[in-house]
Amino acid sequence: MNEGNVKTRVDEDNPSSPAAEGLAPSSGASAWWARAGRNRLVPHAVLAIVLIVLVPSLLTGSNLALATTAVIYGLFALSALVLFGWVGLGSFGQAAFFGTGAYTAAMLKDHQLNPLIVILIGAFVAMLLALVVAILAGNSSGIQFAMLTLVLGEVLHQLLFTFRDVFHGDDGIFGITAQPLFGMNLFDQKNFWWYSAGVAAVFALVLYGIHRSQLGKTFTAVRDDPVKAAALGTSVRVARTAAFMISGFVGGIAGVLYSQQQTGAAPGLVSTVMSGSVIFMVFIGGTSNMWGPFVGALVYTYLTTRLFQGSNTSTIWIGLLLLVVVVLVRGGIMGLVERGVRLLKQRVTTARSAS
Amino acid sequence: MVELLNAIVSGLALAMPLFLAASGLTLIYGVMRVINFAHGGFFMVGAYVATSALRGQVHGFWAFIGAVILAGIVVAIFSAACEEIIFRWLDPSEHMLSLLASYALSLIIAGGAVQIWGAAAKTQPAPPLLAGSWSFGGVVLAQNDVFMIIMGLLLAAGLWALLNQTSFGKQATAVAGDPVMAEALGIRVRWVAIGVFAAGGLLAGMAGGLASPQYSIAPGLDQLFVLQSFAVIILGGFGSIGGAFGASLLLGLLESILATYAPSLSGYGFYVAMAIVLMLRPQGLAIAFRPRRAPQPEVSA
Repeated sequence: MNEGNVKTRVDEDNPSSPAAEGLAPSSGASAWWARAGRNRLVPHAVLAIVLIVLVPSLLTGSNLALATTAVIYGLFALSALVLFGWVGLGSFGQAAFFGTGAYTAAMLKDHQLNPLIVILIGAFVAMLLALVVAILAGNSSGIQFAMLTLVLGEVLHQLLFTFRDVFHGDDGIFGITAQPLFGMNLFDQKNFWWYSAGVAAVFALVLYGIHRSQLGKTFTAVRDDPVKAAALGTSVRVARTAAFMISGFVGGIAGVLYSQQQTGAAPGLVSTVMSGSVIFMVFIGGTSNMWGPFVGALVYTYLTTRLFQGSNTSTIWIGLLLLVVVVLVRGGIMGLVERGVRLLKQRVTTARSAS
Repeated sequence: MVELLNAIVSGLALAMPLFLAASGLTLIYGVMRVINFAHGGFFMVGAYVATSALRGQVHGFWAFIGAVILAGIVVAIFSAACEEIIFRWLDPSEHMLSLLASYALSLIIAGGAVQIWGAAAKTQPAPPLLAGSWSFGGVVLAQNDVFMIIMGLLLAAGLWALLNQTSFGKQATAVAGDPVMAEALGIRVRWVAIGVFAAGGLLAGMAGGLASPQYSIAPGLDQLFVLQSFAVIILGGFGSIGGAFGASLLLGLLESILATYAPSLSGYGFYVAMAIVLMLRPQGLAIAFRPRRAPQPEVSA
C-alpha cells in the first residue's frame, strides 16, 4: 500500500531518548508513572479498558443505549479523523461510508451470519466505495475536495430513492435480527455494549498502530506539505487513497454496528445532515488525538437525544457550538484538555525546580 | 421541436434565480476567499421574508417587487452582520475553517428559520400580472418565466456595472488581488469586506424573493440551493461572475431538458455535471468568461 518513503522521520516520543531519561525521577512508583507517561499507549489503553468495564455497571437502560450509540458514532468520527486530521482532507460526504456499512448489514439480514462476519463484509464494501471516491476525487484538495465529496454523498443518497425496489426509499430496510456471538445474546443491552465497545476499541488500536507506522508518518508529511512530500518521493495520491480506504473501512464498521443497534438502515444515514454531524463530532472533540472523536460523539449524542430531545433548537445550538469551536477554541475539547495538562505539567516542574 | 423550445424557456427561467444566488456566492469567494456554505440559507431567508411580507396572499406586481427588494435588504444586513461577527476573525488562507464556520452558520439559519417560520411548507402565488402565459403556435411562454429572465439579466447587468464601473468595484478588485497592498494604498478593506458580503446577501435575498412563487418554501430549500450554487461556481470557475452566468444557463437548461426527455435522470444532472468537471478540470470550464484581473483559480497540490 505504502510506496512512498519519508526520509526525515521525527520520533517525538522515543522512550530511550537520553534527554527524557535525565528528566525522569528514578525512584519507584514515580519512575513507573514517568515511563508510562512517555509510552503513550499504556495509560490510554488502561483508561479505555476501565471505561469499557465501568460503563455497563454505572449506566442502565436508555443511558447505556445512549453510551453505546456514542461509542458507535465515536468510531464513525474516528474514520473522519483519518481524513481530516491525518491527511488534511476535509470530507463533506463521510456519511456515504457509514450508510454503506449500515445498508450492507441491513441487506444481509436474512442470511443469519455471524455479526462479526457482517462487520467485515460491510467494512469491505465501504472500503471499495472509498476506493472509487478516491479515484474520482484524487485530483482535488481543499474546497474542491469538500464539495466533490458532498456531491458524491448526495448522489448516493439519491440512488436510494431511484432504486426503490432495492433500497425501499424513505422506508429503509429494517428487521435485522440479533445473531448470537460466541453464545452471547446481542439483544441484551449489556452484551451489545461489550460487543460494540470491544469492536471500537480493537479498531481504535489498529488505527493507533497505523498512525504510528511508516504509513502514518507519510500521512503527516502529505498533510503538512504535499508539495515537499511529493518532492521527497512520496506518492501523494497513493497516500491519500490509502487514507481514504482506511477511513471507508472504519466508517463502514461503524455503520454496520449502528444498523445492528437500530435493527436496520434508513436514508437519513447517508444524508448531508449525517456528514455534517460527523464533522461536528470531529471538531468539537478535537483532531489532535484519538479520544477527540469519541468525546465529540458523546457530546453530540447527549445534545441531540437528551438536552434538546430532537427539537428544532438542537440545530441552532449545534451550529453555535461548532461556530465557537471553529472561531475561538481551535483544538476542540481535547485541545483544551491537552492545554490544561501542559499548564499543569509546567506548574509542577517549576514548583519542583524551585524547591 | 415545440417541446424543446418549451424546455429551453423553462430552463432559462430556472437558471436565473440560480445565477443570482451563485453570483453572490462567487462574489464573496472572489473577493474575500470565503466559501459561504450558508448562502443557501440566505436564499431561503429571502424567500421567507418575501412570503411573510406578502402574507402568502395574491398581491399586485409592484407589491411583489417591493417584497423582493425588502427581502434583499434584510438579507444584505444579515449577511454584513455575519461578516462583522464571524468571518472577519478567520484567516482567509485557511479555507477549511471558513467553510466549517459557514457550515455552522447554515445550521443556525436552518434551525432559526424553523423557529421563526415553522416547519410547514409555505407557498407564495405569483402576482396576477405574471400568472398568465402567452402561446405562440404551441410554444408556451409563462409570463413569470419571462419576468424571471428579464430580472436575471437586469441584475446581471447591475452587478457587472457595480464591479466594473464604480469605485467600489475597483476597490473590491484591488482587495481580491492583494488585501495588504490594497490596505496600504488607503482602501478601507474592512468596509469593502462588509460591502461585498452585503452585496452577496442582497443578491441571495432578492433571488429568494424572486423565486418564491416557483418553489414550495420549506426547510431544506437552503440545502437544495447551496448544492446547486456550488455546482454553478464549480462549473463556472471559482470567483468568476461571467462563468457563473454561463454555468447557470448550462445547468438550468440541462435540468429542464432532462426533466422533459429523461425524467428519471432529472435529479442527477447537476451532480453528474459538477462531479465530471471537478474531476477533469478543477479550475472550472469558463476561463474565457473571466473578467479582467480576476482572482486566479486555486491550484490543487
